[in-house]
Amino acid sequence: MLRWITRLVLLFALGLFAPGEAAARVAMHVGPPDVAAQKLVSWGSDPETAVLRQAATRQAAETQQAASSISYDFASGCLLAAESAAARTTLYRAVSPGEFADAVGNQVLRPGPNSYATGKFFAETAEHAAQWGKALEGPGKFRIIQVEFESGAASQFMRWQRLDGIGPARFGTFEQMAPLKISPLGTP
Amino acid sequence: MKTVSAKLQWVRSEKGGRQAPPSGSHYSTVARFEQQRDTWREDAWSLVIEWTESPDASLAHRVDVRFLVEGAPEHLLVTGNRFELLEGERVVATGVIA
Repeated sequence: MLRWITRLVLLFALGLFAPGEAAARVAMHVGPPDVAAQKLVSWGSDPETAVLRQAATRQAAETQQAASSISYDFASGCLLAAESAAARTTLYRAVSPGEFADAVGNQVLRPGPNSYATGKFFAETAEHAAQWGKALEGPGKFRIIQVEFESGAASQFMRWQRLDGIGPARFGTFEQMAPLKISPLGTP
Repeated sequence: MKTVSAKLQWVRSEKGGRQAPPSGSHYSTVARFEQQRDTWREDAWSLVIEWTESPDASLAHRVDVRFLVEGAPEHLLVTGNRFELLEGERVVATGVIA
């Protein structure tokens, strides 16, 4: 008799809490906060979750390097979580020894003497950067740096599909540029 | 590589140009000829500018002009053809082949 009463109580409890968004909301609020990871959350229809979903979707769309993804099916609700590393784009420049020392040593890109006043050109591959280096500075007279940007910023740079018959090129203005890391080619 | 003479006019800073022309005697950047306007973002070419005289008070001067690389559309380097020099989207100088 006691077993039947226990079963009835359990069924009643599941009927109250399991369906739909209520169960999912409980799971969301008791789960550990994850600030660093970007999450794509798809569930519910109220304004709060809609805003969250829009923000997460926007973040996910900006992400080019998805590291892993996890999905959950919880009662009739649906929770999808996509975790990813920060989106970064690496571009390349052939530079003079002076710019090389300044850029790598000070982690900054800035106008030099007799150079562009408003920004910098970049190649999308190291090989193309080397070709521009040979044409502009001469063989053996340049170094190549690789510059990491947030992908959202790099996508705002002006882009040519092909420049000088070599390949794609971008021009970022100093206002657009906030390099995350500048390193000599070949170093981690 | 084909080199021709041209008259170059730097755009003043108050009109969107550089604060001053480059300090050296040569300069290279992306050029846009009138004939390239429709295809410029797909297939652009850089010019190398060599000073043959210093800019005057109006920021105009004579220069020698050639493309940066072999295989460029050198047929554009003919008398009367007009071009712009750009840093990104910003026109910093205009020129005409002499």
